[in-house]
Amino acid sequence: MIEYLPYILSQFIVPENVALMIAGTFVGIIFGAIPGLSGTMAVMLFMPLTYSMDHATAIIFLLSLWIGGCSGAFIGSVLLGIPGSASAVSTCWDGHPLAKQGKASKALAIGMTASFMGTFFSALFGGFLSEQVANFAFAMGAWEYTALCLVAMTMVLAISKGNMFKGLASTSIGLILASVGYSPIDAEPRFIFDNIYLMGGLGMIVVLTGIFAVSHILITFGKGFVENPKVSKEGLKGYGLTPRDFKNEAGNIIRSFFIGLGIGFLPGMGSGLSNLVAYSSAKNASKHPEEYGHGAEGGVWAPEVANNASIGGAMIPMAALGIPGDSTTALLIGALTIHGLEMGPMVFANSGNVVYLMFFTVALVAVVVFIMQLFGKRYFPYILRVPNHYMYPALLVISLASAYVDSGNLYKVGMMMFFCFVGILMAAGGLPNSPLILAFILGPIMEKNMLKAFQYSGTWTSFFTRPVSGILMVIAILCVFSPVIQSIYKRAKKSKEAV
Amino acid sequence: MKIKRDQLTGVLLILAGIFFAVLISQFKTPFTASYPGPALLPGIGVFGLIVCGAGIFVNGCRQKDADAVFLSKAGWLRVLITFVVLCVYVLAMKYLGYLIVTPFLLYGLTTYFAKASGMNTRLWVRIVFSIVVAVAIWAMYVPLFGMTLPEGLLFE
Repeated sequence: MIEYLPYILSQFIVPENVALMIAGTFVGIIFGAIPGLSGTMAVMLFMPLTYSMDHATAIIFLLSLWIGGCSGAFIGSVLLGIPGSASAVSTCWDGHPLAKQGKASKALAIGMTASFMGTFFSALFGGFLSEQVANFAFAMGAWEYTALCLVAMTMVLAISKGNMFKGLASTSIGLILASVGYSPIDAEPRFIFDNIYLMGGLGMIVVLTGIFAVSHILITFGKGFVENPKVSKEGLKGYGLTPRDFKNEAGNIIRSFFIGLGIGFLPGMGSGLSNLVAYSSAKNASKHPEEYGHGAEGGVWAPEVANNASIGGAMIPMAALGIPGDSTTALLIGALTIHGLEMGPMVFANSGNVVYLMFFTVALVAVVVFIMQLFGKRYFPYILRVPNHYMYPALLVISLASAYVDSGNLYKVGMMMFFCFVGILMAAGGLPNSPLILAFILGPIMEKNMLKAFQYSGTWTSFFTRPVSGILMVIAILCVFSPVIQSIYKRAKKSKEAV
Repeated sequence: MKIKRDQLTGVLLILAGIFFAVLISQFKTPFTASYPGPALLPGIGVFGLIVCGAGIFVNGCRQKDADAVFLSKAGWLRVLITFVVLCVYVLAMKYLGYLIVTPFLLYGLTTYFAKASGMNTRLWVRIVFSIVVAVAIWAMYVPLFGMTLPEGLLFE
């Protein structure tokens, strides 16, 4: 690891890299802070810009957008009571009441400190653990990879609230979209209708930006823009925390960190879940659980440490296995593939310098974010005042331009409009987004491994007879049927109580 | 009887599943138990679409409460108008290029978005915003990162 240090440090004396890191972090914080936007959307929209960059610059820029977006999400939660993204949902529950009690400065200080701690230390853990996981992954074959992809796709279903069928339907759409183009191994044309633009597949930017970014903007406009309430910048001065604050919350911080790291590590899970789990754990462990929901400081520390700790956690399977920990790492895997970097255990042997550059960048960006937020704290209310009728048209133009840049032709921009239509239909039908992203990115990896496994063994039973693969397949099946199992369990519990 | 949104979603998913199932059946490489071939991945997708579509449809039939409104009629109209404007923009870019068409699109959308949201904006602000943002995005992609944006068939 140490041998890569000169390479890594040399990347941060390049002015272009430093400028892009600062710009990416700044843009990411804005995307994270504004409700309706997110770091994931920032990564999606600006990804085509990286095509002309060398891979180190691209990694630094994309990770800066992501980390900035994750860290900025608490701003909307605290000041408006509206989460900047799903990762900061539970931050609202105590962050906003604190702000209403006149402690906005303290709540923001907790948010930015917790974000820093979660991101920075998870990057360190990730850097140390990922190579160990990769060494273990060398023992994995096509069967285990197939099963792992299935686990990643189904785990996100197990936590999807509401209708399980809708999550699975979204996964199915993702798999079909991932099938377009020539198939691996057999080179069979699939769903291309003699169209040369479809032969190479649909393209990640075209599909995902169309379905999520453009359709989201149109739907938001259709529902009617809700201008954010004006927040005063009075009192948003200084750092706002004392050593005692850290001492009081030390246990909460450590527990939330490991919850975030662990959940981030699980394929398909991410900050959207970890902040909720950490919040309820903090509440359960608190001596004053009745204060939660009314402005408890622990209720801000827990979700913010956990959702940011998920970053390092999610990067471990991404680097070591090539399996995304969440939808943003899925996008990053796609972006890195475009730059010729295939994540997985071999990446440590082939491009170990790049992997450690990623973890180092995350840790460094955590510091940059913290400094930016510390000095920019009093300007947070201005971020939330950006008028929607200016912001959304600009984002629409960037979305369409990114589709053109990605493909080099207007046909694909038109195709993106088609996927915008699909996205609107999906939203109207209540189909969730994350399963589609994971299935679209993981589908080709799963298919390649699954077909290889069939070529080696000639039977599907081999997926269950190999121990690791078998366990993973059982987990995947349990995830699919988890709502049924849960309802049976609840019914049994009810009838037991009745007796 | 009013059709529930889940019923409609279910039917659409089933129809999409059947459509892709027909296409898969035309693949040249045969699907066998020992080697499923190129039909495997889309086959899983089709299976999922049909089963989930049926599940969502059944849930829709069981649903007693009325659907929550997703978008009002006026909201759908706003979405439709914006969608059509964007499609026209893509077509216009083909002939006139990015730099000519984009300021008009931005001006049109900011005006429409502001009007539909009941916001008062000044004309000159919208004009300056449209030109500055269009040029800034062009500058970011073209000179700064060396990419290309549509130049327009009429100017080639």
